[in-house]
Parts: sequence; C-alpha cells; structure tokens
Amino acid sequence: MTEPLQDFPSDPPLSRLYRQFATDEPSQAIDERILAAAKAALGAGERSPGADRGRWWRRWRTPLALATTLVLTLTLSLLQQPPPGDGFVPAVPGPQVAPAPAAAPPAKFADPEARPAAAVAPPSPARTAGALSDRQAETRQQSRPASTGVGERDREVKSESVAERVSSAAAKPAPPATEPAATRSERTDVAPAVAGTVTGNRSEAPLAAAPGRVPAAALAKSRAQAVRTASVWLDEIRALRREGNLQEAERQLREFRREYPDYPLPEDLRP
Amino acid sequence: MLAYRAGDADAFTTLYGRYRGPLHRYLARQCGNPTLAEELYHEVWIKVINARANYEPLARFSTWIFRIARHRLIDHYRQHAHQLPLQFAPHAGDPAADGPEDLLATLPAPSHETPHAVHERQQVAERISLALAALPAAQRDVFLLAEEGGLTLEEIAAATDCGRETTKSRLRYALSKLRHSLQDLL
Repeated sequence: MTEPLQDFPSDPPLSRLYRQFATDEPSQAIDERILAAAKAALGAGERSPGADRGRWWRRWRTPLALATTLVLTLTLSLLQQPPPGDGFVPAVPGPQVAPAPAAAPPAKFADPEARPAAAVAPPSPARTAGALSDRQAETRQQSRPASTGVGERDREVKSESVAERVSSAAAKPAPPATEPAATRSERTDVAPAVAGTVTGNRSEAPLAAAPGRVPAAALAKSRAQAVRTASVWLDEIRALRREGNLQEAERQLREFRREYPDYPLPEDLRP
Repeated sequence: MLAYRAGDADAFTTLYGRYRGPLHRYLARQCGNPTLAEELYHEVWIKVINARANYEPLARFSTWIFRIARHRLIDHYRQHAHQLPLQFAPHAGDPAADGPEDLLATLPAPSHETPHAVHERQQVAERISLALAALPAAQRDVFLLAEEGGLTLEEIAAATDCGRETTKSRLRYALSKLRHSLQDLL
C-alpha cells in the first residue's frame, strides 16, 4: 500500500509553495449559476412526464380499484335480484281471491313483507291449523278434475312438501289466547319460513323449492299472469267490448277460459 | 454524487464546494485565459449535472471530474488549435502585450490584503504561473492533476491515456523544471 506512495515523485516544498499561492477561485456569479442549474435539473427530473404518470397511478390506483370492485359487486347483485313483480300479487278483496297459475313460484306468498296487509293479517291459531290442513288436502288433489272452488288454484302453487312441513308446524299446540299479537304473528309466519323462504332474500326461495331451473320465457309468462288476476283480466275484456274491439275481446275471453276453466263467468260475459 | 443522483440538492452543493477551486485552477492553468477558463469550468459542471442519471461510482469522483475537464480542454484545443496553449506563454506573440503586467492584472487576489502584500503575492503567483506555463503541456497536465486533483499515478495514467511509467516520468520532469525555475522561492 505504501509502495505506490514511495514510488510517487514528489517535492513537498514545491507543493507547499504552489498551494500557498494557488488560491484563485471561480467567481460567485458562476457558482450561483451552476448551483441553480443543479437544482433546476433536479426539479425538471421530478416533473418529468413519466414521473407524473407514476405519481398519478400510485395516488389513484387504490381508489380506482375500490370503485371498480364496488361497481362490479353492485352490478352482479342487481343482476341476481328478481325483477319487480316476482313474489308480489295484488290482493283481491272478498271471496274471489285471485287464482294464481300453477307455474308461479312457490315463494310468491312466502314473503310476509311482500304480502298485502289484508293477506298478512294473522288468523287465530286454531283457524290457521285448520286452513293449513285444508290446504294440504287440496294440494294432494291437484290432479282432480276442474270442479273445485275459485280460490283453490292459488293454494295449489304450494308444493306438497311445503304443505306437509307447514301442517306439521301447525299441528303444534295452539298458543294461549292471551299471548301478545306480535308473538302469534311470528308463529303464524313459521310456514313461510319453513317453506324455504329466507327472510330478506327472495331470490333463494324459488331455487330452493324448484328442483330444476324453469326456462326464462315460461318464468316471465307466469310472472305476467301472476300480476294480472282474473278479475282484472275480466275488466280488461269488458273494456275491449266497450271500445268495440269485439274480436280481441273474444280472443281474450277464450284465453281466459282456457286459463281459468273453473272461474264462473259473470252474466255480461257469458255467451 | 450518488446522493445528488437520488435527488439531494445539498449533496451537490457539498460536492461543488469541495472541487470548485481545484477544478477552476486546473482549467485556468491549462488554458491560460481566465474568461475561457470560467466558460470551460461552467461547461464541465453542466456535464456533471447532466450525467448524474447515468453516474456509476466506477472510480473516485475526482478522477471522473478531472477527466471530464481534460477532455473538454482537448476539445477546445482541437477547435482552436492556433490559439492554445501558446496564448498563455510569455514568449508567444507580442512580448509587450503578453507581458507580466497583463498577466498580473488577470490574477485574482484577496481584497483584504494591503496593496503591497497583494502586489508581492501577485508577483509570486505570477512567477509560479509563468513557470507552469513554461512546462510542456503533458508535464503541466500531469503536475496539475497530481496537485489540484490529488490523483495517483494510476489515476493520472488512466485520465491521460498513457502508461504509468510515462506519467511518472512526466511528473518527475515537471517537478524538476519547476524547482529549477522557483529555486529562490523555496
């Protein structure tokens, strides 16, 4: 290590003399120019387009990813939701309860929140048990010829397994009459809960009740028919007659009779 | 330099303060024209600033920056071969125009000294400058790289693109001639 230094030609007095008098330095103006150029170069490097893009991406990539995930989740959840009208049938007052088609989803009346107030009104426990027993019997006679009552078809939409589970739930001892109404209503709602309708998630009920998937066209047709009840349909036929559209009224009436063969036609619509 | 490359402006200020005097003197002694020396000095530092992104510490910073300065001088020599470095020599051109009085006026001196002390210092500095100017360019180059840059023989040899023994021989000759010229001052 010391060999190169010993090899190095040197003259210490001469070097000392040189350094003593070699004191000239650059002017302050050029110092300032060079230092300013150095700082400007650093600033220009920070403001380069590539650096700007990098900073922009680093700043916004997390919010963008979150927003994209949120939008995707909302879109998928909206696609999974049933269209409006599914599981909802307007209530028909009086004995002429709207008969629903057999292809209607079993969860149509299963959601207590979607049911109109008149239909949701909790019957007494004894009546509930009796009605459920009747429903079970009617369900077992689905293949019987069309001579039953008007409101029976909407009851037939319940599957047999559902009816059996409901009847077993209804066979339990009736609560005392002094029990609060809220408690009673909860117990009467056991049937829809047992029927496979998860509260707050309507879309799972048809899937749980139906063993296979229903074609989309048939499902849409059944939904449309479910919305249009028999009395509403008859009102439409009357309106067509009043408008003079007899051919369409006749066609609609034929279709109505084919759809509801057991429905007693009013006097004004009988042939 | 690595800190400056990473964005630390203060690191460059420190680096500049360390090398501003030696680099300026090297250029001033080599080209002999203070105005031209400042111009070259500015260009060298701008090259350093622009080369920061690609800087790799393959050698000492002093070796690197003095090599840049030397190459810049060579470029200038090539562009103005008929003017340099004879311009600085006292025996070149009109002796009256390039006499000691003109050179004395160009040498900077501290302002706090008395005129007499300044005059004496300027005279000594002038003699040193003249002795350096009298050296062959290669020997002066080696001497300045050793004194101002603090480079070793190997580093000088690498910077001047010649062998180590050649560098050693040039430096020995330069020291001998300077000692002979400045004998009465030593």
